[in-house]
Amino acid sequence: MHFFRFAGQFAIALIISILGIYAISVLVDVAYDPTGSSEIIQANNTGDKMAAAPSKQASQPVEVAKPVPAVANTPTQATTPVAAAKPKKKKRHPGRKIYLRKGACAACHGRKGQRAISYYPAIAGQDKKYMIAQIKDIMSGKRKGGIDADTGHHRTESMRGALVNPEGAFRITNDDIVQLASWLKDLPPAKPKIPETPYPAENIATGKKLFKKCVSCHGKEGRKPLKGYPFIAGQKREYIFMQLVDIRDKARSNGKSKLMLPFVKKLSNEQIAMIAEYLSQIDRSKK
Amino acid sequence: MTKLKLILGGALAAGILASAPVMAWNEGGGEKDEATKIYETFKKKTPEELAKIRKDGIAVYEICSACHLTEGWGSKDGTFPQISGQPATVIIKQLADIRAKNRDNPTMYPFALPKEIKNAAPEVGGGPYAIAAVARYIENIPMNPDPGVGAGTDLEHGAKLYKDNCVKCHGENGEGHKTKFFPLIQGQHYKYLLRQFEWIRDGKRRNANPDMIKQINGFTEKDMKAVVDYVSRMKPASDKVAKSKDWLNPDYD
Repeated sequence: MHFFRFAGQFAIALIISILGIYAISVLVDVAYDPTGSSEIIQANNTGDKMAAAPSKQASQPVEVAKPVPAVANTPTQATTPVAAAKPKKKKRHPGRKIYLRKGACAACHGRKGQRAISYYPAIAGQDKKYMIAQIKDIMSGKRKGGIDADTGHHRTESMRGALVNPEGAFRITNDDIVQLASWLKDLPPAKPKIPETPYPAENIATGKKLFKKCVSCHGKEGRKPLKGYPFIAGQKREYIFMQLVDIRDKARSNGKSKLMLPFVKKLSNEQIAMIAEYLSQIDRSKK
Repeated sequence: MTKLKLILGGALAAGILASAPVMAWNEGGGEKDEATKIYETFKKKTPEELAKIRKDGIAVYEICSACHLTEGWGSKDGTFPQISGQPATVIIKQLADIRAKNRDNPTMYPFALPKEIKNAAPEVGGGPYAIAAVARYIENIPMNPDPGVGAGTDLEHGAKLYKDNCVKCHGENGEGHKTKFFPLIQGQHYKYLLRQFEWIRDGKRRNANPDMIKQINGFTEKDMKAVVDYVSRMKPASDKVAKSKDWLNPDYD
């Protein structure tokens, strides 16, 4: 009698453990990306360690790097002192308030859309029509993206969680979205994010060559896209990399992104990384 | 006999393995303990030192305020919870849990990372001290006098359910229990409570207390709504609440 009880327990426990081990192996698979993105994960990890280290020395690189984005706001003022003559009390765009309060957008994309956290994109100066479409597609679930190895969710789920309430209702209206996009499109774009060790020149050169077939939609150097297409010059490397991978692997197929499939389907992760490195270093804040 | 022992041993080992996720409610060690220890030392600090800790807390909280608002009141629609007034121990535990991926929250996840906290508040860093300082700041923010509540049609039933099931851990008036990490739930937004309750009941919230999962096992939709509505209407002590629902946090003027 006892034997059967134990055997029963054992069988149940065994099944649970097997399932558990299987789940772990799946998770490990997802977390492990043998090529391009592992660089990013490694970079993040060293960043974590540095951040956790209390020593003053370790905190220096971040502090040194910090003034760079601040400079990004000033070049026009520096070169054209006439701008200071403008009336001081400018009426604030309604999109700004939605961005800062209702939408909670600043949390992830930075107060001026330039300094996004994690691998999230810089959105200052992005194409208005493109942004409207993307915000809507992310809220509705049309744009999902691949699985984020850290959270185990589709990449866009973190944004959806801020814009869709627990009952599934949209927290911002269509009008809000239009206001947001029309405010953001006129903000000065971010300066390129300079990596601690510069990307190899040959990567940039190959990336530039590979990018040639992209210019008909995204414009020369990714600076002059068709209306409704995104600016990609100066975007963060990690973000471009992940989007290209997602579009290639059909994890992102909303809107016009599916038109890209024929151009990207044969690219390797290494080639994608080189395109991302090339684009990430183009300074859109300069003409 | 050896066979039986083998099976017993196997079952035991597998049982421990299988039950590990449930034990994740409140594991010791790691950053939670470190931050809690640092928080404990705050009690012996001079006013000048406390002023500095408060300043650091403000610097770190700015990150949180983008979603939880500078007042820490969250949103009535339940997307972001009220966190003001929550005991520091609970804040520390939840932050550490999200950081350790022990509480599933893709929106909040990056903000619990040392790297992101440090980027936003380099002078404070992203380690356990930052967590302790921000937790201390959050617990002292005046609470929302006007949280989102439910329909109010089944409050008596809710009150009874609360007495029978929740009082022992969450307290007479939903004030929680600091040292046991039981959260303060009084005056929390109804829709947020509802979602968390559901996730805990259905096993979706990984760091849920197994005792609570057992306790609410038989709750129907109606029970859940009634008790959560009742909780959302509980009034915190008057010195914990802001004077007006239009109060704005002056630390972020």
